[in-house]
Amino acid sequence: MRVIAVVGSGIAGDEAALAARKTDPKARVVMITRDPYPLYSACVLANYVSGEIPRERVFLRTPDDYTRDGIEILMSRQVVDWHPDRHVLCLDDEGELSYDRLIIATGSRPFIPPLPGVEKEGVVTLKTLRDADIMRDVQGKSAVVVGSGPIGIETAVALHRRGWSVSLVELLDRILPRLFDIPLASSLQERLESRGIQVFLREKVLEILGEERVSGVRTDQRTIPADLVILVIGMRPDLELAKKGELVLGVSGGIQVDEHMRTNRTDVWACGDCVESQDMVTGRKGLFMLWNNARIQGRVAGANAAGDTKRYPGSLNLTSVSFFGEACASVGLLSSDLSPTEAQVIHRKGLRREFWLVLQDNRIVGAQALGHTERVGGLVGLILRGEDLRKTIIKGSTRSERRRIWPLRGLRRDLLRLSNFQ
Amino acid sequence: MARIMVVDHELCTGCRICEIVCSVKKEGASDPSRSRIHIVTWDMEGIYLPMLCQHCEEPLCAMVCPVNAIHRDKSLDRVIVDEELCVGCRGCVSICPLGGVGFDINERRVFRCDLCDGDPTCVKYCEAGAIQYIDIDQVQVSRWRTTARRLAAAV
Ligand SMILES: Cc1cc2nc3c(=O)[nH]c(=O)nc-3n(C[C@H](O)[C@H](O)[C@H](O)COP(=O)(O)OP(=O)(O)OC[C@H]3O[C@@H](n4cnc5c(N)ncnc54)[C@H](O)[C@@H]3O)c2cc1C
Repeated sequence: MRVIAVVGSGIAGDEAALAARKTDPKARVVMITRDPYPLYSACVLANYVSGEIPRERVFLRTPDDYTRDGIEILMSRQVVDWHPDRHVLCLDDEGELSYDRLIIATGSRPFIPPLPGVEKEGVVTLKTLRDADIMRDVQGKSAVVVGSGPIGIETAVALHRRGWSVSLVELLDRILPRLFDIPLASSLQERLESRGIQVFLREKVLEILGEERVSGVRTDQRTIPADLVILVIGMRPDLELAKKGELVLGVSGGIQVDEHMRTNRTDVWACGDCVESQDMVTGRKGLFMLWNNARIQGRVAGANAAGDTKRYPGSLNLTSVSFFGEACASVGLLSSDLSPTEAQVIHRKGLRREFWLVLQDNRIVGAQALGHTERVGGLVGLILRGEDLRKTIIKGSTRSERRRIWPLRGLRRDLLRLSNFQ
Repeated sequence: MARIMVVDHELCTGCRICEIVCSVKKEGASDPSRSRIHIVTWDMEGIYLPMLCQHCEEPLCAMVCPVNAIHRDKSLDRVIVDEELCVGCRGCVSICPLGGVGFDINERRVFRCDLCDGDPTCVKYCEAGAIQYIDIDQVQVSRWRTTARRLAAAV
C-alpha cells in the first residue's frame, strides 16, 4: 500500500491530507504534527484572546474527524530528521516512518529579534493556540505590542477589549505598513487612538526591561512600562525539516516549488507558509502567508502527491483586517511601492469609509478600502488583466463591460480627471 | 433538476423593487442596504446591474473563511454560511469579485442570497423579468458557474 506522509497539521497540511485521501482512496495517509491538538484557526486566536469567542471555537476539527476521513494523525510528534534518499522520516520517539510520497507543510514561526531581555517572563508572541493560552493567563494591566502588522493590530485590540492599557510600537512611518498608504493608515491609527490605544511610529525597540519578569520596553525615544510585551514583527518559514532534506529555497527564503507544488526532490511536495509562491496580481515572488493561499496550495500539493496534475494559479494576496467594528482591505501595490512620478492615486473619503486606488500607466495596480471592502475584491480581476482604463472607462459602455468594472462606479470623473486620461 | 438564479442585465430597469422585497422578506424592514440583491447603477449611462451571490462552484469566500463556516448546501445547490461558526471577520465580503456578500453592522453578521429556500421573492416581484430562477441541466449549470468563476478571475 502506498504511504503518503504529511508533516504539519495546519490548514495546508490538513487540506493536503484530505486531497490526497480523495485522489487516492487506497493509499495510507499519515499526518504528523508536533501540535498536541487537531486543526485550529490561527486567524481567530485574537478573538479568543479578547474573549469574543470561547476556546473551543478556535478548533476546526476533532480527532474523530480524521478517523472518519481515513487519515492517521500522530499528534505531539515531531519529525526530527529526514533521509530523502531512503524515503524515511525520523520521529522524536525514535520511531521511523517510511513513505512513498511526502508533503512538507511545516508552516511558519514568529521572528523573535535578538533584543536584550527577550527571554524574560512576560515576553510573548502570537502564532499558536499555546501562545494565546499564555496571553490569557498573564496577570497585569499594561501591554506593549511591538509590530503593527495585522497580527499586531488584532492583538492590541484584543487586549484593549479585555481592559488592558495598550501601546503599539512600529518602526516604520505608519501602521499596517505593508497594506496601506499613509492617508489610510493614519485614519486607522486615529481609530485606534480614539479608543485609547497609544501608537508610537518610527520607534525602535532597543531593550526589554525588568528582572525575571518584564517591566517595560526601552525604545530609542522613551521607556514604556508594561506587564506584558508581545513581539509580532513577522513570520518566517519553518525550514528546519526542509534543510535536513536539502530542499532548494527561493529568493525570498521559502521552499522553492513548481506550479504543481513539487520541490526539487522526487516524491516531495510542499505547501503553506513554508513555501515561496508567486503573487497573482503583481507577479512578484515572495512569502505570502495567508490562510487562503495555504489552503489552496495544500489542496494542490495533496492531490498531486496522490497522482493528480493540478496547477496552483498563484497567490491571491488580498488582506482583510477588521477591528472596532470596521473592516479594511488591501490588494496589490501601494503607491509608496512606486516612485512618485509613476504612481497616480484616487482618494475618496466619506464619513465612515475611505477608498484608495493606485494606478500606474492608466492601469489599476492596487486598491485599499476602509469600510465597504467589497470593492476591493471586485477590482482584483481588473488588476489581473492589467487593462488600460482609458479604453475601459471611456468606451466601455455596454452592460457587460459595466458589470466587469462595477467597483469603479462613481469614480468615472476622478478617473477622467487624472491627467493621462485626457 | 437543479435550479439556478439567472440575471439578464439587459432587462433590468433599475426599479429596485427587488431590493425592497428582499429586505422586507429577510429583515422585516424595507432597507436596501440589507438586501441580498443590489442594483449597481451607472446613472449617467442609465445602466443597472443586479448583483447577488452566484453560489460559485469553487467559491473564493469559502477559501478565505478562517473558520470553515462556508459550505455548499447540496439540496438547493447554494453556498451558505454557518452562523454558529462565523466570527464576522468579513474576509468573504472583501474577496467576492461580485460584491455578493453583505455585512449587517448592527447585527454584526454577514448575509447573502439564500435563494429564499427555493422560492426567491425578488424573482416574483421582478416585472421586467430580469431575475429568473430556472431549471437548468448540469452542463449548463457548470458553464454558468465557470463564467462566474472566470469573473472571479482567480483559482
Ligand atoms: C494570529 C494570526 C492571525 C492570522 N490571521 C489571518 C487572517 O485573518 N487571514 C489570513 O489569510 N491569514 C491569517 N494568518 C495567517 C494564516 O494563519 C497562515 O497563513 C496559515 O495558518 C498557514 O498555515 P500552514 O498550514 O501553512 O502553517 P502552520 O499553521 O504554521 O502549520 C504548520 C504545522 O506544521 C507543524 N510542524 C512544523 N514542523 C514540524 C515538525 N518538524 N514535525 C512535526 N510537525 C511540524 C506544526 O506543528 C503545525 O501543525 C494569521 C496568522 C496568525 C498567527
